[in-house]
Amino acid sequence: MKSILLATTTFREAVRDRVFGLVAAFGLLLVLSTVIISPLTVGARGKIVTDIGLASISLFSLLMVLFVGSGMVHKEIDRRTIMTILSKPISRLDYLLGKYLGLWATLFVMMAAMTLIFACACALTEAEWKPTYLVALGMALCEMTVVTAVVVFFSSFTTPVLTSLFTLATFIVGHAIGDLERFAMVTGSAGMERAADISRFVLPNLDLFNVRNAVVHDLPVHSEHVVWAVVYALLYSAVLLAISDLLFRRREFK
Amino acid sequence: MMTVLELRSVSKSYRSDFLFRRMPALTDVTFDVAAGETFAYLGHNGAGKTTTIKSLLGLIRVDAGNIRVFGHAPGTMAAKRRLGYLPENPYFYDHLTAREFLHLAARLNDMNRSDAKHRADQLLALVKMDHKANVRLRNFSKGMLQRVGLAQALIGDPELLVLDEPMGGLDPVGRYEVRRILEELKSRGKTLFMSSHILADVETLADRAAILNGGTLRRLVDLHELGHQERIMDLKFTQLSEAMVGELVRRGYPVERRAEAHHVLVEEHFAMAGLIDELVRSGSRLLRAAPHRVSLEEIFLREVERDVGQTPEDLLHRTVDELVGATSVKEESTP
Repeated sequence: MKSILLATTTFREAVRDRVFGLVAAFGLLLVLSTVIISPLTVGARGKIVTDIGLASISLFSLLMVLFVGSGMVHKEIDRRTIMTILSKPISRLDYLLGKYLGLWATLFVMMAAMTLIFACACALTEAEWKPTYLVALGMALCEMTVVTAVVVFFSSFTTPVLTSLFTLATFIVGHAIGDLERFAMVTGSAGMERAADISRFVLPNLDLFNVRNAVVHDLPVHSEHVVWAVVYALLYSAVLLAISDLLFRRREFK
Repeated sequence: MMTVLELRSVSKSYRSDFLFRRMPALTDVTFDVAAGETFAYLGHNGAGKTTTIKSLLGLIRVDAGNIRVFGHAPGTMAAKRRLGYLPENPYFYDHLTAREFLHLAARLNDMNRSDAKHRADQLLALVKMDHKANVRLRNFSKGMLQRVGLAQALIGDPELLVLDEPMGGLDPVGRYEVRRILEELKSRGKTLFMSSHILADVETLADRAAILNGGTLRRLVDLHELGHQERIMDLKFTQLSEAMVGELVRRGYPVERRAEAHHVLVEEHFAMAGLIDELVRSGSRLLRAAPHRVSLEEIFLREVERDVGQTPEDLLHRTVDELVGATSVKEESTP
């Protein structure tokens, strides 16, 4: 319950700190892409708008999570706000969960707003709005749910700069796990196979959530895959938050 | 009387650099604070005051020793439910209004919505910030944040208030108002644990004071007995010759000229009768011999400067200068 109170505060702070300026930037990018890039395409204007729209939603969501999430805990430690909050009858787990849920709520509202702009852009151009786009966007939300947990995990014990760098590295490697496995298979190297196994076990397999290409090119996205991706996102985030709590409980506020 | 805070041989050190060397922040600190007591925690910057406070709140772990807050380990829910904390130079959520922040603080203190709203408004009025209730905290001055900070510390009507520099950043009117609130809390039997640099306020409010220097507890002072602890006599002479003043200064007596008279400070059992006799024989007239009341400031300065290699005579001169705020004859007469 107290984590919900802090989540509301985190959300309110983010909104009033004009984080939704990123949504405006997204809208601008989408408009510019239809105006500048579309004339260069031959008969595929709709696909370009769709591709750019879906990819940009993911990109801007990632930027928001990195920018807001990386400094979220550190700022409160730096300004000693955390000491006031933790002196109240609230556990450190509640504090961390509050931060996570607040950031997730901000992410959700921001993605919803960008989806609305994207739907408008589709209606105004030749792009066809398909309900399956919502599946792709839902999967992107699952992906960002994991990335938000990664940000909270790193921010529970390190600095904002390192949190951003580590999260970005996790994001990049998380998308390359499939490639790493294929590479290990092709080379037949035992070391590569082990590296791929460790990566798959420790790092989030973010490629699992990428169904944009399938959706844009009308390829089927199986419901089992979607359910597994949702379960994976929830489990991975829960485990990461539990580890974050263990680290955060030991943290001293000097 | 019930013990609210209990520190037993508490030590804490911090890692100072990449070589993992540790710098002591607190060394073997032991004291108790009783229920209803106002306890001042004094020391210069870096003495270990805030480290102690963070230890009490469970924000840092001590290396050795034991701390109990209402008999519970620091940082536990049972301990936190009974205390309120005001940090030094507080900063809160920039984009929340004062009312929203106090509402959050009240809800975190297990109040329901309507009680939280009522309590937030009540405390905004108490700290005279009700006219700024709907202004975002980012627009608040340091003094205004200090008032909101005090309000959030009081939100759960705690039995123990831990205040880190409660007068910091306040103008004289603000200081007076905060002092008035603290006096009111004291009269209601609340336990106050406060660190402060403003010794005059401490002397007015506190029952006891602990003086900390370099992480070590130097002294516990009972402020009700202040003035009786240090026996120094103030001898007031007229017609004291310049040669005799020079001689007294040479011998290490603090001498101060005020109007037509000279004041000589003498430790009570330090051959006072002999000195009076000698000065009267030299033609001086003794006007008064009265006990010199020692202030908390004097004791504080003596304790914190013990480590900087000054002799007791230097310290006595220094403290007298600090106290009276006048130029010592010693400085004027020494070539």
